Amino acid sequence: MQMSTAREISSTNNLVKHHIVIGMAWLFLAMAAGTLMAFRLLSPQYAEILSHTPLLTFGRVRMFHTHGAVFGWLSNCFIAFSYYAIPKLTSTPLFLPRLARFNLYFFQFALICGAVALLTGHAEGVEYAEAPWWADIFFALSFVFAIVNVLGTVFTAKAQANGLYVSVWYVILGFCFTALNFIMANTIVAHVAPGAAGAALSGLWIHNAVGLWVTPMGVAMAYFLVPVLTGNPIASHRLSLIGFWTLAVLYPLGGSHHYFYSPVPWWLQVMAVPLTSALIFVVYTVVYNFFATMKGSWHKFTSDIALRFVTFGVFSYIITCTQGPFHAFFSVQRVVHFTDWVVAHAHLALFGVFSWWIFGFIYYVWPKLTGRAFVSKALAEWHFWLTFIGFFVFYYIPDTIAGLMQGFAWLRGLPFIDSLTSAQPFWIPRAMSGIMLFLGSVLLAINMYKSRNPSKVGTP
Amino acid sequence: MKPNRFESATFFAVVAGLGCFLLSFVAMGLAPWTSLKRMTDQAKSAANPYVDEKGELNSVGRGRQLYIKEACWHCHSQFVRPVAGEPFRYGPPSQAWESMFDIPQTFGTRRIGPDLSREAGRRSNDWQLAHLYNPRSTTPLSVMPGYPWYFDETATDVRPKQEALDLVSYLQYLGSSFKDEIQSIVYPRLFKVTGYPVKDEVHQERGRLLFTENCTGCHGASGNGMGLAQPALRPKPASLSDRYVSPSEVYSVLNRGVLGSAMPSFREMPERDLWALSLFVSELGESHHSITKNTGHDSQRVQRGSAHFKALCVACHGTQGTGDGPAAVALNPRPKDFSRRVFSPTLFRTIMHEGVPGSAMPAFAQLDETKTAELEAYVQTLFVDER
Repeated sequence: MQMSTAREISSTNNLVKHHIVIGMAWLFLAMAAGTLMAFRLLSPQYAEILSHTPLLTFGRVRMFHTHGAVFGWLSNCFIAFSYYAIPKLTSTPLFLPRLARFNLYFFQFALICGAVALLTGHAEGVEYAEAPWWADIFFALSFVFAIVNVLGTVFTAKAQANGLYVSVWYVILGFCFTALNFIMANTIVAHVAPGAAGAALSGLWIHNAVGLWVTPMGVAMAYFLVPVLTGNPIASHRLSLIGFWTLAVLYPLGGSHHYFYSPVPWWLQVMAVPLTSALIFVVYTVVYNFFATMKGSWHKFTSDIALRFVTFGVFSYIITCTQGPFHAFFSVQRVVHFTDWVVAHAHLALFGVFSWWIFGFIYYVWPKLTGRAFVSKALAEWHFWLTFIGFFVFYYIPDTIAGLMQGFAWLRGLPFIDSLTSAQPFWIPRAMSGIMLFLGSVLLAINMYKSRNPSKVGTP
Repeated sequence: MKPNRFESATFFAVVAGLGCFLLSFVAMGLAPWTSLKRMTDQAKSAANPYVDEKGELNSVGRGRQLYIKEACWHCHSQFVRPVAGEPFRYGPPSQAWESMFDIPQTFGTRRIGPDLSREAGRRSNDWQLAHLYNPRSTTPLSVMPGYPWYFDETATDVRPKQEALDLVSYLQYLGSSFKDEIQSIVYPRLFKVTGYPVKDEVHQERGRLLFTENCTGCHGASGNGMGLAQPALRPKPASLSDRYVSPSEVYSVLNRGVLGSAMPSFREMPERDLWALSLFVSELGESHHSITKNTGHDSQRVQRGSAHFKALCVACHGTQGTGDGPAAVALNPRPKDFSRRVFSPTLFRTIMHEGVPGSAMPAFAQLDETKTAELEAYVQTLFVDER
């Protein structure tokens, strides 16, 4: 086994630290954008908030919100996780640290180009990839640089007796698939494929931006954190394999369920039903594996905030991924499609699952990077409870109900405006949740800031 | 232990990363694309609606660009599903060939606002522009952002810039292959009822609320036709306090809208609500209902008024004044039905002197005050009281 030098480790640690800190900055921007939108929807008067500023008009802020959340916050943290975990799991130093240091800034440059383009009105009509082509080129390049580093590290590693750890599989899958998917979306969907064909391919992109970028990277993180935090080895190698391969093969084939009852070919829509429903196996194998690994260590999540975020993230994962397969039934789609039910579902996945796993990762890794345990347990507890109650009680449940109100208002043939006014009472807690979640993350940031330097007393 | 070939980095990268992407790209992308190509090729008769002969973007195409850069499609979908009553609300379900020039597609995945793929002919350009400038002006409960930066604002006047006109061209293009079908759904010409339910307190209060929530943007808080959107609209919104319209006629108008004006149809409202609103609106002009009682049917004045009417009005308003003269078929907005409404003397004179700009109703400046009064007297006799 090749040992990394102390200098290499500290250099990599710095990279991880910076990606996390910048990721947090993107989180704040995305949350601020989300909260602004939530308030604007509350009433005709609130719709006028900052409404004479073209830069902050609803549509542009809407695109900025997903751009900041998916690419700024989640992707920065996933890269941080890869830089941290892959060298550890393969016992190999990062492939090209200098490229990684350059890419830390280049990645942000690409993201800022995209964000500025969206806000100044240069968007493309590709959902989740609205940044224009020139910003996409920077982003694609930067993404490839990250791949070179991560895969380079994996491929230069000496073969190990136990083979590759399951997290590494997922990271490889996430990076390889998503590079191709991103390029496909920004070339073919944006500039070549017309109408219904474009919708089918757009379904492929938006579905797998979540399913084969956010999901594998998040699951990799959870596969890393659960054993590390509980001290138990992964329960079943076979279940890991089943969960991985069903995700890789089945998940990408269900994308057209985003366009049910649309002019997308009927056979494609029908095909998406069983393929999406089958994803229930992906979830339950992975979740069973996590729970079996936690056996005997459940009590730890009461005291370990990192494990608590991870565990509650797994609970959200069960809910969101049980919802998912049911959404693929036409009878359900008829009611919930186009409504806030789907918005709540998407936030449950991207915030309730993956952001919580990232929070868990931050609570685990930050003390390792700074050499000092988090100074305040109280801040961490406040962060958890604000995030948990703020999300479930104030966001997810009301927004799901709002979705049903809309769906049934349409189904009853009421005037369109009724679908808005009947949902608005449930949007009030949603707007409040924006403030709560923002506050919770501020507490995390304060805690990270206070714990930024090594403790003089002793290392954790 | 020998490393497992099926768990090597290369295997994961090539088979899972690359292989599964290619599989899904072929199955979910190329296959439907090919099957669609055959269909769209068959239907291909129209030229690209977004470009002119030189291949440059036309007004519709530029409007589409704006639609994309302002992310309109994040709140407005562009496909009508054949389920959930959508054909009733929007029009015929969407077909693949309709969007074959849309690159990138703008189907959308969320409906905070209504679907727009059947917008052609549904609303007047005036309405669209007023709504783009300030959505609350036409739809008081709307939470849509306004786009004032696509308008030139001066102290006294607001005029649309080219961008706003482009955007409206695009909106009026959407679903234009089905324009007649959309209009026959939204503006059913033959919709007419007579009689109305007895009014009670609930009706009155419900009607007032519905009026505030749906009508005040154009018709004004007091119903005098001076709402926020009024300066943008031709013909102007009706001043409901200056005329008596029978509840059954209000009900009919609410159901079928007024094609050719900015008045949309409210046929999606539950029937009870429609009646409550109709009774409330009718009540706004109640004071003019009794005007007709003062007119004797056999007076000389009415006789002379009848002669004026035959000479000037029957071509459009018909011999019985019910708005169905021979020319009426071609006119939007339709000529008014005098059996179901009474105008205040002031309004009657304004219309006779100025006409109704934006409609086919011309000014009759040649009629002096005596003749106008005679005509008015006759027109009042045409009113049929439903009470």
